[in-house]
Amino acid sequence: MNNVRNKKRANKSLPFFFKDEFKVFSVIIIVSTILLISTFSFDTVPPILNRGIQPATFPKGLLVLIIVLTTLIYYLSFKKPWKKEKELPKNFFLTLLSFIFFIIISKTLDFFLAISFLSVFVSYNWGEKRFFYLLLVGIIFPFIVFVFFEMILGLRFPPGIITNLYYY
Amino acid sequence: MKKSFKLFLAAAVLVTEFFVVALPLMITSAKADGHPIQAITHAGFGGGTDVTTRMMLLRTRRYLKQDMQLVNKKGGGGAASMDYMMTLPADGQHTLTWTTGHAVSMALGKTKVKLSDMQPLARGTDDPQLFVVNCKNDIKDAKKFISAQKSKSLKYGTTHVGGIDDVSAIAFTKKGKLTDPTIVPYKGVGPIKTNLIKGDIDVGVLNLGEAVTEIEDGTLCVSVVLASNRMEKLSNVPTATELGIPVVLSTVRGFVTRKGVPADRKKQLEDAMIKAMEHKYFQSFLTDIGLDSTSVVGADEWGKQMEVMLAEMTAQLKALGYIN
Amino acid sequence: MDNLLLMMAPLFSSKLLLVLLFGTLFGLILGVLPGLGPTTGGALILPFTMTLDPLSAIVLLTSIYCAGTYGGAITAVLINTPGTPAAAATCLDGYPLAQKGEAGRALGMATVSSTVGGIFSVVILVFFAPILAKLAYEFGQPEYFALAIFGLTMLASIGEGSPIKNLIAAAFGILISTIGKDFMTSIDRFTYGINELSVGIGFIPVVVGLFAISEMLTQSTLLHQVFKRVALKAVKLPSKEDYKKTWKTILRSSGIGSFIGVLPAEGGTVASLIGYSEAKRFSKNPEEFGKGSIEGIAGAEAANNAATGGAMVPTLALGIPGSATTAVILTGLIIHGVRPGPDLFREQPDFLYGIFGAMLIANILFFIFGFFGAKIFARITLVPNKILWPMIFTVSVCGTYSLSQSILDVWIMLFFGVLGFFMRRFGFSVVPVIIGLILGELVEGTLRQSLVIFDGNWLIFFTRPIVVTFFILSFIALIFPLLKKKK
Repeated sequence: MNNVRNKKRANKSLPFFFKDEFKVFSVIIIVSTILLISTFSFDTVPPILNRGIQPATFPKGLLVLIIVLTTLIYYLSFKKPWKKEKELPKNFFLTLLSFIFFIIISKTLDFFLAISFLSVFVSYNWGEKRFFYLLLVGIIFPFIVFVFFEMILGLRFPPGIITNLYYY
Repeated sequence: MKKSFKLFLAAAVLVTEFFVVALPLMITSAKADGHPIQAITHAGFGGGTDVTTRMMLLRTRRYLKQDMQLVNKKGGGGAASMDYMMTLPADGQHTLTWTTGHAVSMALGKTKVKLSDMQPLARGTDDPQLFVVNCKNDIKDAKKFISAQKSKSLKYGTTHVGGIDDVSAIAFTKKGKLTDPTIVPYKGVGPIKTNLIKGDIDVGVLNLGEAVTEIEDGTLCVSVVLASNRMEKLSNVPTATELGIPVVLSTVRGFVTRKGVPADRKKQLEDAMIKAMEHKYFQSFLTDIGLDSTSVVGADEWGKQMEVMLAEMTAQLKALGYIN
Repeated sequence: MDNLLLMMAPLFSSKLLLVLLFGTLFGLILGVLPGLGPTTGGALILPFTMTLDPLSAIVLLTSIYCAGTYGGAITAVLINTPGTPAAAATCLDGYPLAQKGEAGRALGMATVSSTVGGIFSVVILVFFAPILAKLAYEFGQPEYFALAIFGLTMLASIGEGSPIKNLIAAAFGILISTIGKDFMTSIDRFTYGINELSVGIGFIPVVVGLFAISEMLTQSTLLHQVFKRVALKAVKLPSKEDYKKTWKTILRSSGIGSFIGVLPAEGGTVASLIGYSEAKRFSKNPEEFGKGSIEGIAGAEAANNAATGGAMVPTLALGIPGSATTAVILTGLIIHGVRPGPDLFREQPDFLYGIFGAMLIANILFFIFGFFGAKIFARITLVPNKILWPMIFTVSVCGTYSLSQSILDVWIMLFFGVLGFFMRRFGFSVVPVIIGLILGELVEGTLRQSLVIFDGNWLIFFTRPIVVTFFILSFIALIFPLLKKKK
C-alpha cells in the first residue's frame, strides 16, 4: 500500500506529457489517425465487382476501434497509473543503434558485412572482449550460415561488396 | 559454465576446420562450372509457377552445364520480378518466368517494363481456363449452362480477382450477352472445389490440373473449355467458340530474358530449355497436371502469344473498369 | 492385419529407412532454423524427388513435414523464437521454463507431446481418413468464419495483462493482416506504392521480430543481472509427475490438432493456438500459463504435430491440401503421377499404408533425436548472452531473408522487434497480435465471401448447423472465465 502511494507521488511529480501513459497514448493516436486518413485514398472497386463491403471499410473500423480503446486506457490511467518502468540502460540504445547501422550497411554496402558488423558491435558492447569469440560471432558463424543457406539450400543472397566476390 | 565453454571451443575448432579445409574446395568446385544463372520467379514456394520453374531447371542446368539458382522477387503481381530483371545486364545470365499474372500487372501499369524489353525464350505450360460445375447440377450441360445465365446471374468462384479467372468469367458472359456473373474471389483452389461440391457457388473457374481428381471421380464436371480446340482429356466438352462465344483464354507460364542478349546465347538458352522440357521428367509433370507436349513451344510462338495475351488482358481490364 | 503389415514395409526396406532418416534430420534442421520450415524445405527438395520412386519421394516429404513441425519447438523453447510459425504458442511457456533453468524439462515435454500428437493423428488417418475427409466438404466459407470467431475468443483466455490492451493488440494484428492487395477486390491497402508490400506482410518476419528480436532488446537491458544457470538442472528431463499432470492436455490437444488439421487450409499454427488456449481453460493452474507451465507446452506441441496427420487426411483422400506443407506434398504426389482421392484407398493400399507407416516411423525417429538430443540442445541456454544473441540475430536475419528473398522482410522483422519490446514494456502482450494476424485475414475474407454468396443476407449464417454450433461455443468460451471467477 505504502509502495503504491509512493509510486503515485513519483508519477504526479512529472508533468503529464512526460508520463509513459501519455507517450503511449499519443503515439498510438497519431499513428492510427495518419493510417485512418490514408484509408480514404484507397482505390475504389470497379462497379461490376462492387458487392458487399468496400476494401477500406474493415481497416477503418479497426482503426476507429484502436483509437477508442486507447482513449479508454488513457482515461483509466488517471485513476490507476501504470507501473513506472526502470530507465533504459545505455546498452539498449547501443543495440538499437546497431539495428540502424545494420539497415544502412545492408542497404549500401553488403548484407553479410552488416551482419558481421552488428554481431561484433553487440557482442563487444555486451561485454565480450576476447578476440577469438568476437571472430566467432562476427565472421566464422555468419560464414557458416552463408554456406548452409547458399550451398545446401541453394538460396541466393542480395548482391553487395562481399557477396559479389562469390557471385561474380 | 566452464563445461559449456569447452564444448563451445570444440565446436568452434570443428567449424574453423570446416572453414579452412572444406570451403575453399566447395567454392572452387562451384566456380568451376561458371556463375549460376538466376531464374527469377514471383511466386511463393510450392505454387504452380514455382513448380513449373523448378521442373524446367531440373534438366536445363544439366544441358547448359551451368548451375541455375531460383531468385524469388515477390510483389506487384510479378511487377517486382520484372523490375528486378531490368537491373541486370542483358547477358543471358538470368531468366524470368513470365505468366498471365505479369500480363495483368503490365496492363495495369504496375511497372514501366514493356514487352519490347523482354526476349522470349520458351513456353512451359499453356493451361486453358475451364468452367467447372457440380455434376449434380443441370448446368453441366453446356447449352443449359448458357441458357441458365440468360435470366439469372451465376456465382463464379475465382482465384483472386482482377486476373485471368474473373476476366474469363466476365468476358464469357459479356460476349455471350448473358447476365453479369457474381464473382466470389478465393485465395486458392481448395475452397472453390469444396464450395462447389457443397453447392454454395455455381461455377468454378479452374485449370484441369487443379480439379482432375474430382473430375475423374465424377464429383465435378466441366461445362465449357476456353481453348481454341477441344482438350484431349475432355473430348466431350465443347469449347466456348463452338458455342458461338469466341473467348479463348489460358493460364500460361513461359520464360524470358532481357532484350539485347547476344543471339547465340539466346539460342543456347532456348535450345537447352526446350530439350529439358522434352525430357520425360517435365513431360510426365505436364501429363499429370492435365496437359500435353503441345504446351512446350519455342521463342517465336511464345513471343507472339505474349503479345496476344497482353492485348487481350488490357482490353478486358479496360472493359471491367480497372484501367481508365 | 494386412494393412498393418503394409505399414511396416518401410521398416524392411533399407532404402526407405535411409530416406526417412535423411528426411527427419533435414526436417529437424529446417524446423529449428527460424524462417525456414517444412514448407520451404519441401518445396526446395521437391524437384530432386523426381530421381526417386514415388513412395520414397512422398516418404521423404512427409518425414520432413513431421520432423520440421516438431523442430520448431526446439528454437521456441531455447531462444524464444518459433522455428516454424506453428511453434509460436510453444514460446509462451517453453521459453519462461527454459529461463528458469529447466530447458531440458521443457524440451522433453515438447518432444513427448509432439510424438504423442503425431502418432495419434496418424492412427486417426489410418482408420478414419475416408470418413473424416467428408468433413472437409461440410466446411464452406460461413463455417470458416464461425471457426475464426471461435478462435478469436481465445483472446479472453490468452495473454496476461489488461483485457483492453489485449484487444488493442489484437486489433493491431488484424490490421496488419489487411496490408497488401485485398484478394476480394484486387485493391492495394496500406502499400503506399511499394510493390513488395502488395503480397502483404508475412507471418514469419512479424513473429521472429516480436519474439526473437524483442527478446534480444530485452536482454540488452538485463546485462547487469547475472543469472546462475545450473547445468545439471538444465538437462533434466520431465518427471513422472509432469506426465501425470499433462496426459489429459496432450490427449485433448491431439484431438483438437487432428480436427483442425483435417479442415482444408487450416494448419498447425491455428491448431497450436487453440490447443494452448484450451489447455489453459481446462487447467487447474491457469495462473501458471505464460510463466513456464508444462501444460502449456504440452497443449501447443501435441496440437501442432497432431495437425500433421490431420492435414494429410484431405490431402490424400480428396486431393485438397490441409495446410501449406501438404500443398507441397500434394504437388509431389501429382508430379509423381499419384492421383489422390478415394480411389487411392482402393487401388493403391500398399502405397498409402507405406506413407502412413513412414509417418509413424518419422514420429518415432524425431522422438529419438529430440529426446536424447534434448540434453545437448538444452546446453544452448548455458552459452553466455553476449555470444548467443548475436548468433541468433544472424540466423534470424538470414532465415527471414530467405523466406522470399526479400530484404524488406528483414526490416519488417527489425521494426516488429523494436515494437514488440515497447509493447511488452508498456504492458501489451504480443500474443494477441499473432492471433489477430492469423485469424484476421480469415475473419475478413470469409465474412465478405459469405456475404457475396448469400447475396448480403446475414440471417443465412443462422441456418447452418456448424456455424450455429461454433457461435454457441464462442459464447460459452466468453462467459466461461466469468463463471470460473465467481466460483
